[in-house]
Amino acid sequence: MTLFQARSTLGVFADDRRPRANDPIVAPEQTISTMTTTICAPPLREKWPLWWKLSLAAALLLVVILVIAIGWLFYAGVGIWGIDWPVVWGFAIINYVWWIAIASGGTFISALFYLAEVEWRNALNRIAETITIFAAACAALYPILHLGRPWLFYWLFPYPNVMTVWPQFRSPLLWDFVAILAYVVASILFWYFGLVPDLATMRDKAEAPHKRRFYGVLALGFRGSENAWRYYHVGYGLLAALMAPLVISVHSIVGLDFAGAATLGWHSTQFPPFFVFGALLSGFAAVMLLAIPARRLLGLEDFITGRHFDILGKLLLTSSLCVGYAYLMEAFTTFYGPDAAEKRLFVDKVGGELAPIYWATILFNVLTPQLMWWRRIRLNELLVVLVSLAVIVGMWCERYVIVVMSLRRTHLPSAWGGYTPTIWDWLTLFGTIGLFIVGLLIAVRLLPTVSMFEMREVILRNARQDR
Amino acid sequence: MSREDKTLMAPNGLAATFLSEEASLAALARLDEANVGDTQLFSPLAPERTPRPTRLPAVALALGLLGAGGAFGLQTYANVVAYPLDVGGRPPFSWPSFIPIAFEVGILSAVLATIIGAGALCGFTRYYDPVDRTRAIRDAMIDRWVIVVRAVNSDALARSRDIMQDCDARMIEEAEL
Repeated sequence: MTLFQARSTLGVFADDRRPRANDPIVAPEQTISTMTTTICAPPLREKWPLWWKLSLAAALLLVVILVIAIGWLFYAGVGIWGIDWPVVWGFAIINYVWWIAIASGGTFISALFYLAEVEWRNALNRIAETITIFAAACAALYPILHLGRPWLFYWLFPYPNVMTVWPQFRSPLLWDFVAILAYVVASILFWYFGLVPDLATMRDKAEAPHKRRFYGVLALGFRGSENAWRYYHVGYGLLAALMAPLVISVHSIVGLDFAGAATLGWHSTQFPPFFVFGALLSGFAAVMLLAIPARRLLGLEDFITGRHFDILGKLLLTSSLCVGYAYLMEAFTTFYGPDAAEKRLFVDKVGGELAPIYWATILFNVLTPQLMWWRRIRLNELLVVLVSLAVIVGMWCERYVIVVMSLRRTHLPSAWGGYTPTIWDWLTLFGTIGLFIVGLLIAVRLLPTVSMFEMREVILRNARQDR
Repeated sequence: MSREDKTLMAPNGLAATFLSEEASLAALARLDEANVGDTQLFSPLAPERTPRPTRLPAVALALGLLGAGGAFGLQTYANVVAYPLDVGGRPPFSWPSFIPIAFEVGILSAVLATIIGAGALCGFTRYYDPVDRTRAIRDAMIDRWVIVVRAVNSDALARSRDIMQDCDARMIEEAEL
């Protein structure tokens, strides 16, 4: 029995709502009225289903764990983590890079593909941008927690002070601080700006006075006048044009955090593009992973169709090939170069104590996405979830390899060390996953999951073409 | 003005809803031709009419460059004048390393300029507008194209109504605007 037959026998997704190869970008029977009603329905409904309440309860439990972990960290210091000399960057930096890469995928979809005028992004950009802001918030927590004395984080800002000390602007770590700050602020503004017309729709669609007031305040008085649309469109286009280079620069700078150091395995000119490839891969995987439950649970099958799965699957495959190329080049430059320590480190990576993590990275990031060559798999929700999940785990493993393996094997064998994460490392990681899920759940509870004003453009354009 | 005066005041405006952009634009063209008064179109998505040029991109660029220049200047001041520090023998004015922060601050400045500029031009935070007195405006962000006319006199108001009816308006209502 094949996996596909087994799935049908079990009744998993064996219904008419599954993605199909010839699906259009939006179901042809949808009009702007029906689309608006369908998308407004989940946030406007009075009571929410059990799945939402249970998910929120579980995620809130993780947030409580995060608060406890952070509280204990503030009290006892970073010694509660597994970091020590020489592995001074442990989970905090692994998780930071992992989260910020997940965040970047959202911006790629919403900004880069907006500039490329591709219609399919209109159904996914809200989900993608929401992923961006909550993943970026989780990412931004880590460098601050990692400071040792987090309450002095404001020392990173350049301001005149009585100590007459200024930040060292020649350090990529400070570039990173500014880049992340700019990225988080710009992402939140881009997300909110993109929401304004839909908030106005929610205001006008809501029946209950308190909901009308709530969405009315958030909609900032937007009424859809011709003048407002004119400037709105120009502003949105400008923001997209600014966000696209911003996201690439942010991930390049994250790569420079590593490449700027004279550390084995890090000091490489390929790190900035390598990190951008990784961001693309994990971002697309995160969007796919969350688009599937959103589609099913919120009744968005007419808007997130087989066409979206097909395209996202191809993008995942392409970015996986780019990441695979970077892994290959890492091996090539190591053995092409003269540094014996680099070669020793690489051999340790592929055959040493932590080799299973390296090979898990290759398996999840390069080999598993190759399944996406087959359309049948790209359209299979269960397999897409599994492949995306594998990539998310694989990208975490990749950061573990980069951070831990390089630091534990320095140039001097006398300075070699080890790294074992503690329970507080793990609890902080799971806590941020909870924080991310809480953010997403609240967003789908209150806000439209698909950009309605952009979907109207697609629906009307299709209707005109049909005529 | 007392409540009694208000109720006696005749409506001076008209709001009409249309099912399509084509119908609303046709009506708008005829209303403008008839010179009935100020007309405004409200729609659930941006109309496809040719957009007029705006200075917003130029303003965003200027403020972006200002932000980038300011960040570059601050870094130069901090690392060259206020706190010169020898890092591996590099010169204090190691300008290439000031570029990433200048770039990020430049982008952030342009983003802020765009948000504030576009927000001001779009009329963000204008929570009340006389058109809110019409029922029709509540459909404009859902699935209708709404034309609002502020007629110059009662004759223009009557002509507006005729034009709207001719152009297949679905709902026409009079209001004080």
